[in-house]
Amino acid sequence: MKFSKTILAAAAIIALGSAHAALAAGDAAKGNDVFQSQCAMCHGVTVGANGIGPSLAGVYGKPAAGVAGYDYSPALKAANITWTDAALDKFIAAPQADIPGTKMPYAGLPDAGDRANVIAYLATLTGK
Amino acid sequence: MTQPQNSHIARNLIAVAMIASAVGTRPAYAIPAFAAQTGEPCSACHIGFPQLTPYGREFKLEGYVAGGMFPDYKNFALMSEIGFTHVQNKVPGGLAPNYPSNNAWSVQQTSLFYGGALYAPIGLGAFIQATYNGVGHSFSWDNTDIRLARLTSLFHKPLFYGFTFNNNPGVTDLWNTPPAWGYPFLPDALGGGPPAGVQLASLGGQVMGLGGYGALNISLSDLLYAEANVYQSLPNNLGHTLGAGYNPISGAIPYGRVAWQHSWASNSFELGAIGLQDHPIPSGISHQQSDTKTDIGLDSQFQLISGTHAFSLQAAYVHEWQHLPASVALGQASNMNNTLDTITLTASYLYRQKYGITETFSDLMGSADANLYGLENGGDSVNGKPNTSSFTTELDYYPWNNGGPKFFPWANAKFFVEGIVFPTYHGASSNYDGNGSSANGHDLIFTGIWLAF
Repeated sequence: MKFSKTILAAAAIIALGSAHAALAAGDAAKGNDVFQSQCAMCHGVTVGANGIGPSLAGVYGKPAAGVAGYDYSPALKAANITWTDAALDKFIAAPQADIPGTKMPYAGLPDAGDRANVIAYLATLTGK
Repeated sequence: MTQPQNSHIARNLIAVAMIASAVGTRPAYAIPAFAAQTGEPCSACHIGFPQLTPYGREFKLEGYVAGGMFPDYKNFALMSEIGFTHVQNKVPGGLAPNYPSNNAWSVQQTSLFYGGALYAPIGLGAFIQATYNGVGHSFSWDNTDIRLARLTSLFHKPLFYGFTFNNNPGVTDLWNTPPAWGYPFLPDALGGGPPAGVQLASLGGQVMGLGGYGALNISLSDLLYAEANVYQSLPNNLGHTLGAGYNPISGAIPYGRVAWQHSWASNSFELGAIGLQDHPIPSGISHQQSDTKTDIGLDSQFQLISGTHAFSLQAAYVHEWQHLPASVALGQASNMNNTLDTITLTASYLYRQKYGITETFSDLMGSADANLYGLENGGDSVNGKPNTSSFTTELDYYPWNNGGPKFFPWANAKFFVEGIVFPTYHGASSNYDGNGSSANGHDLIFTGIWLAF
């Protein structure tokens, strides 16, 4: 039993570390620059600041389609995903390819470094 | 329809509009079919109508599928444009057949749309419009663009590419500079205008074509767009079935478009070129001799958009070379070679998505040709020139851009007053027809409502 608890604890530490891998790898300041040129026209960064897209405050690490007051597409509601680094990375790379029917008509960020930076920036938007 | 009847209809329409705009509001939607699919307000895709925002351009580029998966009843919509026309000088014989010589109400056009996803998983979507012309009392297919859009990468840059079936060169475009979605934003079918137009502005609904396009994000801020289509004129039977009539054009009609767009935040600058060549048959009988018309155009668009203000500038220039052996042989033209040039400059401003003003200068200049524009063949230009210029001022009020009526949340409306001044008309500013008529006699006021639901 004690052995199992140790394994679980180690796995939890590893999972926590990997969940923040992009955050560690990404540069939030650079991510802010990319965000302003690519995302800010549709997305706000404070709680309740929904625009064409939902506010991204507090979205990082939370289930998708969860921002109050925003009318999400049926496709995103049904996607049943959580905005982990990996999920965000996949979505930002090619939104329509990742979730056909999403209402975000965006070609995507092809550069993995840009995506990591944006994800790092999103992680700073705690909404608090 | 008599004038008393027109007045009665007008009073009822105004009353309905006032009641509708006075009732409570709720979150509104854009052009209803697309709005219902995306759940976005009008202002997401448009600065007023029909100018596209960056989101609107991306939505179109991506094949009209964002937010949808399959066809739904919400993808159907209706639109109607109802207005009152006052011309400076009355027009003997009527503004149009069965219309008075001045001061006429008209239901200018009523359209049925399908807009949105056909099968989103493969990027298949459509914009399809069928229109009843209330002035000409005819029904026809209107702007149609069915496209398949895909995303890939080229040189490690994201590339949207796609294929389109459409019926109007330029209807596929992302900017509001080509004629298909450019000036005039509110045409008045009862008003006057130039006696000729370049082919880029004349083929809508008369042709059908296939093509492909690509939009490469060469940097995070720069987009390179290219499109190539090939059209043909509608066959006789199909043309009449679709209400477009038969206007034969020999062979294929190549169309090309390139544009570069630089963006920062919600603002953008575009610079582009456009071209088309066709061989219309002036006799109207297939396989007979044809003319050749070649259009080359340059255009530019600038947009500044914030939550409160939206400002845009558009400039378009088109030069057309005309080689007219068939028209000369038929006596329809005097010169073997002519040219046409059009310039359109538009500035518009929209405050809080509700109050808009648009100012446009439009100029058409062409070769003097007695048989083409003069009095010989029923024209009215005594000097044989088509030259016509105008200043258009449009004032708009959008009551529902930020909130539609509770009983019909998808409705959208635009109340408008448009004034057009003609410094030059059919070749001259005064006595253009040799009978003492002046250009400013065609100055007009057009006011009414544009409704979509």
